[in-house]
Amino acid sequence: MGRSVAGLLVAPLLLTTGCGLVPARPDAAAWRDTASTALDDAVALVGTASMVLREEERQHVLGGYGVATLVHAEDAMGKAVDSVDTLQPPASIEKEASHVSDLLAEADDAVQTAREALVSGDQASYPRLRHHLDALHDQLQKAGGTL
Amino acid sequence: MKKYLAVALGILTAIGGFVDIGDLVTNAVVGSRFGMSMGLVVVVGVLGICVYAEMSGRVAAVSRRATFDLVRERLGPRLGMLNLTASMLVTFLTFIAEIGGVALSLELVSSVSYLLLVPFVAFVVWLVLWRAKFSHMENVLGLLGLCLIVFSVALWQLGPDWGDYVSQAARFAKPGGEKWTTWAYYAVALFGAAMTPYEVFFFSSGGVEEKWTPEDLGVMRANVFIGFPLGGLLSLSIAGVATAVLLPQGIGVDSLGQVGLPVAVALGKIGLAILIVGFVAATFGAACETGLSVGYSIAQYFGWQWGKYVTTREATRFHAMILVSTLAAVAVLLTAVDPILVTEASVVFSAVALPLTYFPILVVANDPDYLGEYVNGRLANGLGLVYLVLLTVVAVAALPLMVITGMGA
Repeated sequence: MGRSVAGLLVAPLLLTTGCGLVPARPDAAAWRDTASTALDDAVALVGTASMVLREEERQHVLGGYGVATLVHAEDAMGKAVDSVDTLQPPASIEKEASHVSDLLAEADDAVQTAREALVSGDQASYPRLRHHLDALHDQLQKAGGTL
Repeated sequence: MKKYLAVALGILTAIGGFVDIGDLVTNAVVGSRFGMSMGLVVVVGVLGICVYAEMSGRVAAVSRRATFDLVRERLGPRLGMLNLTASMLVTFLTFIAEIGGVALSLELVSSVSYLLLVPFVAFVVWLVLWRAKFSHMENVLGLLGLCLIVFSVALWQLGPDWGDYVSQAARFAKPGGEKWTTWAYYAVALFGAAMTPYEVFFFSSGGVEEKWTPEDLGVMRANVFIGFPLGGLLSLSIAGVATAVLLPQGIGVDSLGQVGLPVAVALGKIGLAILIVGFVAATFGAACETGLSVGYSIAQYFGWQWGKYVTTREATRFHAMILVSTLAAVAVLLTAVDPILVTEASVVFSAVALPLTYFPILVVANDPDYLGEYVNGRLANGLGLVYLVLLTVVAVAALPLMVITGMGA
């Protein structure tokens, strides 16, 4: 009886130690597919943030509309970043993967900063933020095109 | 004079009630990614819904009975159950999407998370379905839905190259970076959004609720053949503004806020305010229609008393079904599932269920026992058959395309 109980306790332990958490390891083509989708999403979300700030400057947006739109954009941006960062890229494309990952992280920060500026009503920062978002937009498009 | 007013009111509510969350999202997504290359898909979808809505309206006016009431009787319980299951599941999915759509619309003005708004929205929808008069519900929400005309005004204000738009639609001019499978997936989704099954259930059951007779056929046809195509123009306008403003910036749509941005660009705060009223009215109206349609379909299949033209006490099981489906919709939405994703899924599954929904209508509309001299003529049958073939092709292709493209990613 005692052995059976011990066996029941030890068996799952042995099984789980053999099943450690490892990130998915796609091949280069599969990684590029995921990265390309994430970059497309990032282009859309950075573009959205820039457009919201521009329309806020023109006083074309009602009360909470811009904030609500950017909260969704921020959320979606986080998902795009995660979709790439949770993959283990093949060693052969490590440099490229690192560049994409850095760009996505920068885009994530930029969308978040735009949302923060909108919530705090810091209108003076809008042109600078928009300039940064537009530059990022171009870089993300370029990165997507070269994948 | 009274009759002309009734026709005008019917047409206006048909336009205002035509667009729902599925049309809003799908047309904006398509415009932002594929430009106007799917314009003809919308036109074909709108013609299809006109053909079948006219049939189901005629069935209701002449037989004084709604579609599901006759489907089981005419086609037997087994085929009737298949029809009920497919259509009801899709309608319930659409109901979830519409409640989520109302909450998302209110979030845009309140800055309160849509998840907190969902129970409140569902309660108000249920209250309206329980207490409000059918005609008040339909007319008020339909007329407020006309605020979505602001999309057409914005398109005119943006002044796109109209010739280029027509050319894109005529040539199915897909942008170079997109695959044809993805294009086909969204074409199926757009077709499903235009021909959502609940529209015919609601239309025919509404005819019974409003006690249509053969004398009302003229008004009904005016609603269908004038109101629906004008509603279709609204759909094209949504795609048009997305093509003009979002596509050049590479902004693919995945939130309701993005759908409205082109209107802000073109018309500013006033346009945006009108648009939000339109969003709320269109999604709220569709939530009421889909909620009622879930109750209609189940009650009509099982032969229970149904409808808002009788007292709540007389139709307790019908109202219980509405209450249960409302609670179930809230439960699903509170899992934090993205309402936009539910919307996208609902339009594709609508496409899958299309033949099961429309085939029985074609059969009943040809039965002289129910329709007497008002059975389908050659034109209605010809168009009905052509569409049935098209619907079958679309239904067969929908799920494989969904899998192959990863839901259009």
